[in-house]
Order: sequence, then C-alpha cells, then structure tokens
Amino acid sequence: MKTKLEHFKSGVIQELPLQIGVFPFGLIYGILAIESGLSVLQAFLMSSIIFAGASQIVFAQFYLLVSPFSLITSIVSINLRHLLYGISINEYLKELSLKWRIILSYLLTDEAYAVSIKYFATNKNKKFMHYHLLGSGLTLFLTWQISTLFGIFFGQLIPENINLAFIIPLSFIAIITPMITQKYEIIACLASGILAILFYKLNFELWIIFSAILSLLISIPFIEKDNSQ
Amino acid sequence: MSLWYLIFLCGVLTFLIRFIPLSGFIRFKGSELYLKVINLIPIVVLTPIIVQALFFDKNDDLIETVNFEIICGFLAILISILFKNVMITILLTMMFFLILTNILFVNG
Repeated sequence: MKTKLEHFKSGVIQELPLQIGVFPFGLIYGILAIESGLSVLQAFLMSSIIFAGASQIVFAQFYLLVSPFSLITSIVSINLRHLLYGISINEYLKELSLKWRIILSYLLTDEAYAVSIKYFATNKNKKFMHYHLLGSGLTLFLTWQISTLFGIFFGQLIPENINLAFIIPLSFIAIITPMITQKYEIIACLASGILAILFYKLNFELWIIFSAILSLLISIPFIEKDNSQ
Repeated sequence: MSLWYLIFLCGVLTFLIRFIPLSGFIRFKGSELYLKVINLIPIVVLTPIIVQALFFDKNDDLIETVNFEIICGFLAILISILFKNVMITILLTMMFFLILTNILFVNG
C-alpha cells in the first residue's frame, strides 16, 4: 500500500512536466496585470486570491473597461467548467473531512485535475489518494506564484518565439487519449471537439461548458446502448 | 467598488464554484449510467481546450490550413496510443514541434 508521501510525490512528479507550459502563462498574466495599471501587490496577491489563470487575465484586461457586474459574470462563466471537475472528482473524495475538501477545492485547477483524475481512475489503492491532488495542486500553485512574480518584474526580458504554452494541450492529449477505449467515449470526444469549434465565438469561455454538457447529453444514448449489450 | 473588494469577490466566487460539488452539501446519485457520464467529464472538458490550441490562432480565428500545431497534435495522439506515457508524449512531440517551428521553418 502506498504511503501519503508516495501519493504526494506522484502528484508532484506527474504535475511537473505541465509546469513548462504553465510558467509562460503566469508570465503573461504578470506582464498584463502591471501594464493594465494594477499595483505589484494587487497583481501578485490576485494569483493567490483568485488562483485561476484565464480569470485573472480577463480581470486584468477588462476591469477598467466594464462594470463590476459584467466582470464578475465573466469570471463566473469562465470558471463554470470547474463545477464539472468537482462533480467528477467528488466520486473519489467524498469520504474526506470538510477541511480537506476546502483545501482541495482551492487547488482544483485544469492541470491539477487532469493529472489527478487519471491517477484516481487508474489507481486501485484508494486510501490517502487525495495526497496526489494535494501534490499536483501545490506544485501548480507554487509555479503560478513564481511565474507571476517573474512576469511582474522580468516579463519584458522573455523571448516570444518559443511557444512553450503548447505543452499544456499536448499534456491533455497524453492524459485523455489512453482514457478513450469505448465507442461512447470516442463519440463524446468527437462531439465535444466539434461543438467547441461551433460554439467557440461565445464570450467568456462559455463554449467549454456548453460543448461539454451537450456532448455528455449526446453520449447518453450510446452509454445506455453499451449498458444493454 | 474598490478594486480590492472586486478581487476578493472574484476569488470567493471562483472558490465556491470549485467547492460546491465537493462540499458534500449536494448528494449525487451513483447509478451505473451516472458514473459512466461522470467518467466522461475529463474527456469532454479537456477536448475543447485541446481543440482551441490546435485549431484557433492568436486572434481566435479558425485556422483553415494545416499548421504545425495540428500536425503535432495528431503526432501526440499517435505517440500517446503507442507509449501510454505522458512524459514521453510531451518530450517527443515538443522536440518535433520546436524543430519544425525554430529550425526547419523559422519564418513560418
């Protein structure tokens, strides 16, 4: 049986490759935040208080241009996909204390979710498994804070010709491809991809949640067919 | 509204969106169909993010020609099927991507 430390280390190690893609994203946020007129303290602390890359970038870009209500609505829309992450990961964490669920909710980002949900789904050893999400989440949290600081103070020195952010979608491909083994999983994947293209022009990343929910609905008859066979 | 209040409010709302499903306040039914649908969530949420990176440019316009990102995306799928290893997929595909964009086709 794995110890808490072993689960935690697995989370850190599996999260590390994604940080090469997260770091430039944090840099971009740091640069944008300062250019938009936020103070160093506001720019830096927002990375702990909100701790959500896309939302922070939208905040920095729009807080002077739109009403507070529009800004808040945008941020909520951008983060709606995390509801689905929570529902999905809750299956593995429902026995935990409230304290743990608060900590892990705070750390539940795209990248931490992606590596930990794969680990949860493939690891039969359920005890202490939440330490994996703690490891992956804290790794991302630290990278995000450090990269924000770099963006605030040294952002202008970074060369633009190396697209390291491309590592993030590559990581997601590497994570979900082995998960797709059934016909209904292929259909769900294709449907969400096609719907994403169709809905892409929707504002504030609503296209993610729309295409995700619709493709889940599309795949239900195929799951039922699979169940009846 | 003070900027600090706005930052805190956005932080609280972001946290609540993440916390509500994990809070235990809402109970979800665990039928076989429900569990299979829940297991599809990583696929249906991460696929649109992948599609955005491969098929849309920096101006959010759909790319109508084959680009390096699409080629490398399909390469990553192949490598992932072959090796079933995240690190190997990232390293091999990223090496290929950097060679394409920074050595073979410097001017695009």
